[in-house]
Amino acid sequence: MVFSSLNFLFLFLPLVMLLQWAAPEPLKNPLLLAASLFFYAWGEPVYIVLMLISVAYNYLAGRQIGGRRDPHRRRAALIGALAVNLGMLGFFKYYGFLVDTLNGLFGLHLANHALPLPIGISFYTFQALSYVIDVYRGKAKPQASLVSFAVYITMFPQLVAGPIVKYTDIERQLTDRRTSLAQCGVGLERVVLGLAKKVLLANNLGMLYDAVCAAGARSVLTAWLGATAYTLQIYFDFSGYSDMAIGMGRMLGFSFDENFDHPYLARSVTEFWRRWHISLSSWFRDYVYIPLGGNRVRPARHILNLLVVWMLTGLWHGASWNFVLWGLYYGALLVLEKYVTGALLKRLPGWAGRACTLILVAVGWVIFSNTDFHAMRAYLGTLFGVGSAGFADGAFLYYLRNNLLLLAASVACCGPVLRTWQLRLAGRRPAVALCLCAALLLACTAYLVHGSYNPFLYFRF
Amino acid sequence: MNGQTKLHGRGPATGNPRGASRTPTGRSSSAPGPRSAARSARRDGIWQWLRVADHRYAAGKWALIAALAVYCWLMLGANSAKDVPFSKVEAAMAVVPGLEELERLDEDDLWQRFGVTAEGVEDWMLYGSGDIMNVSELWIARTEDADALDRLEAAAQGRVDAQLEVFRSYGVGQKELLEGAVIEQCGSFLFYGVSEYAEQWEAAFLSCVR
Repeated sequence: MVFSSLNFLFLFLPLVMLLQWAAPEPLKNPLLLAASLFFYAWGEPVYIVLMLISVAYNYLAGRQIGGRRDPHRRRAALIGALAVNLGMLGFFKYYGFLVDTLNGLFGLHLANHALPLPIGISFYTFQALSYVIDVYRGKAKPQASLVSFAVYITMFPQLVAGPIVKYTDIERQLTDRRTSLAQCGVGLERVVLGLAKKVLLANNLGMLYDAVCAAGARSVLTAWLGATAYTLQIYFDFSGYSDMAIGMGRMLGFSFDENFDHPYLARSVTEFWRRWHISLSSWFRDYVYIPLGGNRVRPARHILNLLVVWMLTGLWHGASWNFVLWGLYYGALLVLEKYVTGALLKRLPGWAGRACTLILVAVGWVIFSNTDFHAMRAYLGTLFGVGSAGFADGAFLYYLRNNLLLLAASVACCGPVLRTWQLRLAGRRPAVALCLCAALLLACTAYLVHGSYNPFLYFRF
Repeated sequence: MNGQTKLHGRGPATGNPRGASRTPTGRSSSAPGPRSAARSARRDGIWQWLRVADHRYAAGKWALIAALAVYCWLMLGANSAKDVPFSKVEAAMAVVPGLEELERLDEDDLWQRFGVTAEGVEDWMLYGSGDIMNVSELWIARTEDADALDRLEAAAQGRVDAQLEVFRSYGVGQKELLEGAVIEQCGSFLFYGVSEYAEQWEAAFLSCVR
């Protein structure tokens, strides 16, 4: 089941919210757990066993780590938990990738029995890891209730595509949360905005990008138009999903941290990654970068730390070498900013910094979107005039003319202006804001009825 | 010590009309045999061991790891296919019912119907009908490239969706067949079948590759 489906929006979600509101306090978590398991099983019934094993194992691991006093035994339990979680993730997500790489490098003929990727495994495994590590560090108490812990891991708003919620952020909310009609309204408004980003903007931008990719010879401007379309598509797709997850969490009484902060307004790549997929970058910072020493080490070691973290970040996104390259690309850019270009960037005017960052980010997305290296190389070449069909062509004008309104709306929605205006309107004229929200929902529903299956891009992670 | 055994609160054996008091198993209450004593000691030991919370957590974790291993083994078995020559698959499919009404198609037809080429595909076979009202098709492809396999599967699904769109308003029979389409990845194979015999085709294919 995807968030942007009619079944979810008009059957599952209202029913779950109604049950949550009507249920007495002791039944809220069991009902939410049952709904989340149903949600997951709808799309992937066979992989629900895997998720339940993960929940049970991490629950026991947390109790064991929290109950032990001897530091060596606590560490042994933590290492065991890390091994099982990472082993599970590695087997289901990276086994085929590893076998193909070994076959390619050493000419072996190992059998590749790779399994389909269980939806959400990267997200719920990272959440489980954050729990056991925080229990080990003493930042969180082990959760006594298996049901509450299972709700933390399997909660449907953020189960399949994040944000990655740290246990310490919602520890108290698992057993003590309040919701009100006003909160529900705010949450619902956020859900509608997220849905609009996905259905009205991201899906249409995706069609533009597909059209540009399907074209044989591309001019430089057409290639940049395609890259821009993908840059906008992935932002609205992913941030739209996050908005829906945060909105639904609010309706259920949970308060999730923001996952995006207008990333395309960043004036440097460093700032970009403080604004994009915040939950992931902070997870890697807290559980990989800082334990490796962070930036409190010699420069050579700091550079290595950055490259390792970014290689892992790329690998997290997918079992393919283009994702590793994408991660290393950003690692290299961050090293450059830290040690070479940082001072220069500070002297640049804001618009210049933003423009440079956007160009670098768009190039990064081209690497991200092409698992085939030949296609990636060809596209990157076209961006800079290598192998292109001239600087501009009729196709560019055609795509631009037909998508001008879409592109203009998308660019406007990248900044805070529209959202600020909408919030002010909600404060001053709530009835008008409500009508606007209803109109958005109606437009999205019309698109969904007309369209077909349209999963979120980040589902594949 | 005094040769008598007090069990379940019973008094000494003297005065018991049955003679010597008996254990619940019916044995005489002389000293227990060495094997049963050892078994009993082990059972008590395990329960004693499990009384400690940490040990219970450890036992639970190991049980879950075992369950995970079994689950992975089952999943691998369900998804795998033997490394059989493609000619064997073709021979197995040649005798299935319904295929005699279809003709073997070429790469142009593959492109026209599915929007993919045979590039990157090691072996493939495609059967279809020249009659546009006949939606029956059989397509089996084999590639070691997992991404290519996903693309082929997506192309097969796209074909079904496109055909459903074509026959939406007037082709009741065709719609029924398309809704019963079988699209499946099995190891390095993709199987796609639309026909009243689709399930039999699938069974023949699976019996050949599993």
